[in-house]
Amino acid sequence: MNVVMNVTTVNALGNFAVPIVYIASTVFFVLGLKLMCRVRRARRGVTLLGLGFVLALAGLVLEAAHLDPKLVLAGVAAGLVLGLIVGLTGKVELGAGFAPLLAAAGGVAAVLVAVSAFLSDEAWPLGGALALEGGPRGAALGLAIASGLAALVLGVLAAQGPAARGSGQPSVVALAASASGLASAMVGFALGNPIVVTVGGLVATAGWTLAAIVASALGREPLDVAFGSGGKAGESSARDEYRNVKACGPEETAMVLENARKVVLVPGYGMAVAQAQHALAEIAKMLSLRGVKVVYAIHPAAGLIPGHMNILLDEAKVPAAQILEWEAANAELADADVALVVGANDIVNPATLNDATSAVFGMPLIDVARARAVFVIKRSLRPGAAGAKNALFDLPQTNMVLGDAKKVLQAIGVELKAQTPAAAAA
Amino acid sequence: MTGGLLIALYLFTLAGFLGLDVIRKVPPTLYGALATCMGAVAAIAVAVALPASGASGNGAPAILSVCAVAIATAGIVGGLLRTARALRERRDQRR
Repeated sequence: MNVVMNVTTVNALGNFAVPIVYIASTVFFVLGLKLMCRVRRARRGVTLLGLGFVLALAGLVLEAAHLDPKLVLAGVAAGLVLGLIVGLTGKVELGAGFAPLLAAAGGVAAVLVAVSAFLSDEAWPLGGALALEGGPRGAALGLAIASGLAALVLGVLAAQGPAARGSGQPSVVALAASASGLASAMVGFALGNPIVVTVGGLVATAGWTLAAIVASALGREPLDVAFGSGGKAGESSARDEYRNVKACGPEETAMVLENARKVVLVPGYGMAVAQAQHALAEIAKMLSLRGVKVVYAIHPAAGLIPGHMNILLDEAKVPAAQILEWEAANAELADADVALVVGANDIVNPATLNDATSAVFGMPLIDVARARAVFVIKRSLRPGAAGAKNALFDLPQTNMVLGDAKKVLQAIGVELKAQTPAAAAA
Repeated sequence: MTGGLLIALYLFTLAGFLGLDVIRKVPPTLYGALATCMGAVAAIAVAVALPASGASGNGAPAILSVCAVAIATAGIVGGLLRTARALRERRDQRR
């Protein structure tokens, strides 16, 4: 009697402790993924995800104390060694080698669990006696196997398929993660583990969403990126001409700007169209307050009429001392940390110097490629008035910040302000 | 038991909608890192594989479960470590 009592007490405690640990673990997963969407917080996000797994493991230990530890430890140890090898060796780039296959690991594991469940239990719906319980469970296990295999296919495609090593690769990895998440959720469903259902379901849709975001940044559909050969046939967009274009967001632009010593701002026609001069001047002011040297580089042909940029900058009350003509600006660019190009194209096209076949050859050039980092705020990769391709966009130090100049600059301003409360108040 | 299945179905549905919302705006530099660590999170199947590996005794089911534990653990550890490494590398480059 006593023994029975004790067992019930332990069970009652366990009944509370385990769900609470699992719920806490789920919270860490959600917060971790959320932080992973912010450049400044991403590293903390990975830590939270790791803690989520530690907590889930703690829940398992609480729940499964009666298990045969030999087999469990053998599996965990083997996985740990393999994970450490794959995680710590090889190239740092995320898309390199077979690393994208890691996203299929959950799916493959789910397939193995599902097959093992089918094999081990005689009460499985094959007998038909458990139609109510067995039906949904059998279906869930079947779905787990299907989506787990899909995850494996997508993982292989991400590593070796048409999108491998390309800008679409994260989309395929996210799809593999999504399928893995679905497979996990299904085995969790069949074997009655709420945390696996929750976290698996979370990743299933989050992965799909990320895949869609990455694909839409390329102007394509997720499945088209995974299986397709290239862009849509017949679509000869300007994008096809560029091979190494790197895109980035306002947040990273702000991070680089605030750590610079000297920044050269290069306004063009796009700034006039977006009426972004005030937002630009605001950023320049904040950077100056942080001790960053800021100058504006004015090209003689920038805008619609000569002096167009000067008029706009004057309207935004930019100090005249900060405004330089193109030749003086080029001298400043030699030791500038950042060149921020706002809605300009032909005036920063290096073809003016080195490509006699280009329409812009021989024009004056603001040589932003001299700066250590170049950010180009532009609505798209379409050519400018001269219709020339701009090799600047393909350079390794160039980052494209695609979007409306005013909106992008305002977003950068918000980021800068968030990092400098004192300066913003001043 | 049916109640348990229904609750699991609720959880799955709600978690699915949460997943749609967690990922809203992602800066392009984080595409790869986020995709990789999502792959690691998807290996949460380890939480069902692990009890299965300890409970199913011997034979094919046990071996399959142990393999599942190993693969999922590798996916978690490897995925998170690679994400962390890539993020650290990027931070160092910025400096």
